Amino acid sequence: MSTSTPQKTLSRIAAHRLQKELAEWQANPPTGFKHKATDDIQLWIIEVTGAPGTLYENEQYYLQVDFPEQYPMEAPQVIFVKDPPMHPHIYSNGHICLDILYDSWSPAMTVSSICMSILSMLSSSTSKERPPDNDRYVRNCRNGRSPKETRWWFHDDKV
Amino acid sequence: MDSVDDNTNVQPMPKLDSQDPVKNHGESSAGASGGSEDGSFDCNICLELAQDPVVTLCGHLFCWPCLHRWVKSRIGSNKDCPVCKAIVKEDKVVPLYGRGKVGSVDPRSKAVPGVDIPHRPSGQRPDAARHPEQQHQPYGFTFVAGSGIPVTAARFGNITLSAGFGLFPSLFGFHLHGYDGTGTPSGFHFRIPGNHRPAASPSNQYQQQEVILSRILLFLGCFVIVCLIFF
Repeated sequence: MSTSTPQKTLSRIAAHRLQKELAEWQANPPTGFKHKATDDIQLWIIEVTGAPGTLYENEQYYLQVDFPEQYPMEAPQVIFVKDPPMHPHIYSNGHICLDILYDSWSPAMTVSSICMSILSMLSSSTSKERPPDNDRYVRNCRNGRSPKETRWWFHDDKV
Repeated sequence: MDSVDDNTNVQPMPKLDSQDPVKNHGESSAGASGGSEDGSFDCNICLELAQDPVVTLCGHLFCWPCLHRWVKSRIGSNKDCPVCKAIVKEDKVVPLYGRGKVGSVDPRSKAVPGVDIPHRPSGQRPDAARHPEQQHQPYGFTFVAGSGIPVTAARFGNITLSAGFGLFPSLFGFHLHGYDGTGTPSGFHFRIPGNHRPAASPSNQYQQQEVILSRILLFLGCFVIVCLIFF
C-alpha cells in the first residue's frame, strides 16, 4: 500500500536536514511515537500509540513519511499505512486531511512537530468514524494519487 | 547515527536559558552533529548553525539562503515567517554580523543548485556617534554668508559672529565653528558654501542645537546687514 511519489535523490540540503532531524528524534523522541528503522532515510515508518484517556488509547497505527527532493521547502507526504485509525479526517486509504501537511506547511516544522499535530488530532476526536466523503475520495485516488495532489478544503478546526 | 552518543565531546558553553537537564542532554547530543549546543543560533529551516544569519522583524533566525529560497518559493501565496507566519519582507530582514568568518568565503562559491541567491541585505545603520571631544567643547560661532567680503564681525564672550555677503546670494551658507577659547580667535572664517558638513536631518541633540543656533545667527546677520544699509 505504498503510494509514495517516484523516488528521487534528496538534495544536499534535504539530506543534511533529515540526518539532523533523525539524530534529534533519536536523542529526544516525541512521546507516543517510535521510529522504525529502515535503510532509506527518505522514507520513515513511524509507530503511533494512541494517547491515554482518548478514543485511541493504546492502539497502534503506522505513519509513513515520504520526503520530497526539495524538503523542507516542500512538505513531506504523510499517510497512515496498514489499518488507518477511524477518524473524521482520516480516509480509509490512509490520507490525512490536515492543513499543515499541505497548504500550511512551513519549513520550520519537523517530523516531530507533524507527529504531535497528528496525535493531537487523534486525541481530540469524539467519534470513531470516516469522513462523510470517504468512498468518493478513495475511489478518486485509486490510481495511487498522492494526497499532496488533492485540493483540500479545511473547514473543521475542532478535531 | 542510530544511538545517542554519550561521549560527545562538547565544550562547556554558557547556557542562554535554563532548560530541564534531560532535554538539554538530549539536545546537546544531537547538536554534536554540527549546530550550536542548545540550538539557540540554529537556522529554523536547515536546523544547522545559521550561515549568513538574518533575523526577521518578528525575531526568528535563519540562514539567508534558506530564508530566500523559502520566500522565493512562495510565489502567489503569503511570504510568511516559517515559524510564526508573520509577513516577511526580504528588504526588512536584519543581517547579523558576528566576528567569525566575515568575508572569508566568497558568496559566489556557495552555489545552491537551481537557485541564484542574491547578496544578503545589508544592515540599516544609524548615524555614528560624535567624537566626545566635539561634544563637550565650549561653542564659538561664526556666521558666514556667501563667500564674499565680510561686512562685520562681532564677538560676544566666547561667541564670534561674522557676517558677509557675496556675489551669489543664492549660495547663502552659514556654519558654526567651535574653538576652545585657548587658541587665537580670529574674527572671520571664510568657508566655501557647500564645503560644510552635509546638512543631514538632525539625528541627535547636538545637530538640533546647531540648527537652532544657526537660525538665530542667520537672523542676527540679516539684522546687521539691514542696519548697515539703512544707517
